[in-house]
Amino acid sequence: MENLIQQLINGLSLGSIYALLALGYTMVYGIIKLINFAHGEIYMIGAFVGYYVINYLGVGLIPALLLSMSFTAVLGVIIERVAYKPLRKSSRIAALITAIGVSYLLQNGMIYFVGPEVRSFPQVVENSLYTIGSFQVSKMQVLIIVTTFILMAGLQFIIQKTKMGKAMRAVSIDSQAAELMGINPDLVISFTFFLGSALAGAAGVLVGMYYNSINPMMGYAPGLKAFIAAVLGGIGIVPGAVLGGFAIGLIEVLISGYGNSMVRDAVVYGILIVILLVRPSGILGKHAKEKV
Amino acid sequence: MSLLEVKNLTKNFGGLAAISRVNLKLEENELVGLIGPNGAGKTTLFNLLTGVYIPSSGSIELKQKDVPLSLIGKQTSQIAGFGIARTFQNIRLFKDLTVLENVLIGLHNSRGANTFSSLFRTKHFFDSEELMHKEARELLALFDLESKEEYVAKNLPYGDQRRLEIVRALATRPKILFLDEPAAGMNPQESADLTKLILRIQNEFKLTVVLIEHDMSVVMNVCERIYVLEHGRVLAQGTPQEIRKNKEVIRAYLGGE
Repeated sequence: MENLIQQLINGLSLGSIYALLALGYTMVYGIIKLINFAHGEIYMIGAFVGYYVINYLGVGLIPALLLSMSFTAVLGVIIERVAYKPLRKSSRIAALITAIGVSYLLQNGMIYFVGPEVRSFPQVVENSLYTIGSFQVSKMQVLIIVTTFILMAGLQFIIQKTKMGKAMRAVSIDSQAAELMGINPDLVISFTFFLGSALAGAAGVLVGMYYNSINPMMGYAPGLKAFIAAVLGGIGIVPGAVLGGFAIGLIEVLISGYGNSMVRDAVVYGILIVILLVRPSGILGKHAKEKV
Repeated sequence: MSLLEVKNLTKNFGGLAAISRVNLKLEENELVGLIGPNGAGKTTLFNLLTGVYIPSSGSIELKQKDVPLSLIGKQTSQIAGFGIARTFQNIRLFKDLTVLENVLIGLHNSRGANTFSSLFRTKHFFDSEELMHKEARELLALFDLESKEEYVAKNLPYGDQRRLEIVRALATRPKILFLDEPAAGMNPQESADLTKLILRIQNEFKLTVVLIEHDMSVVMNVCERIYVLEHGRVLAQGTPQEIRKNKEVIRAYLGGE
């Protein structure tokens, strides 16, 4: 029982990371129906920005998070403008292939500029353990979970209450009707990339601190898993991404803890296959109706 | 000049001229009907005037502060900002948003706090938010929808959805409102109510209304002028009395001898 609670806490903190990433996938998909496969790399670059600002500017955790989020947010907007916007009227497969290309460009670009070696992430927060009863929570885990919830609350506020959030929801329902209401779709799309990439940057810094190691290839596997999380919850649905993220995090941790950690990834990728076969619209998704 | 002047407007889809050398003038605060058989190009014309389609040739000029402004090459969202709004033949509300939110989106465009001030919850944000909610409710009240502001749009009855689409368009404070078959799917009583509503909009909001409609009782009762389209060309134009007697129009609708 104690072991289970311990595993659930681990799963919750890992799930937070996936949820932050899955939100970026799902928001972009909701607006322009594109799976942005470069999203994992944005997260990797977020981790590197955190690494550099902590090491060279000597800032603490919160400034590092904010700097990293601002950097990746702007990077996300630039990527959309340069790589995806010219293809907006092309077939969806063209943009998808471009996204994969951007992903490799960022990976290999970072290997070229910073080298492929694994670096250890500076410890800005002393990693103490809290012992509650007979199980333990690390300060890092608390920090990850709390930060994630603050960011999600912020996102929820932006989407539900602000003018831009309403415009985002309007564009995702019917972009042409939204344009006729005077909403500039380019602005809304840029803003969506801005938000999603900022969350990915935050996730990068948090993971860097949690696992204490970063490298230019680190975005690949979490990027894919966050994509699976978004599909599991229902792609395009914001609460679905959060649900899917936590579900994937918990499943991974429980399999490692009680089963065999060798099959952990196989099970997660297996979930993608099963969900696509059984319920392609995801847990929270409704079956798409034909438009008349 | 007129409020809107369209000259020699043409739109080709491949080899088909969906709209061919159309000339059209709209004056301020008038109610104009646009009729014609199926496939005549009525909706295409709306799409050209609202920037959804790009014309193959011709000009569209809107009077802005007494100066003509060409709408060719302008984005749909910009054209909406200049004061042109529309509804759709098949209702296109933001169906998963509430009634109030649908109207707020229309209002937001012309006014509203930017994201920065709403994130940091400045006084400006609260003031403009409050003002917009008030305005939205006033608009809804005019159309007897105020008691349903929290309903999700897709759960409204059909007639209410049609009215909400008109309210949403009015929220952008247009100078010209294009209504694409607003009476489609309505029974005679609902059509009669709609007729009154359109006249009210024209008078209370002091705007120009252009109406595509197949229901001749609506068109003949409210429109001051009518344009008849056939095969993408203007077949005739004039007052309802003139159109009723026009031989060309009768031939187009009933077939020639």
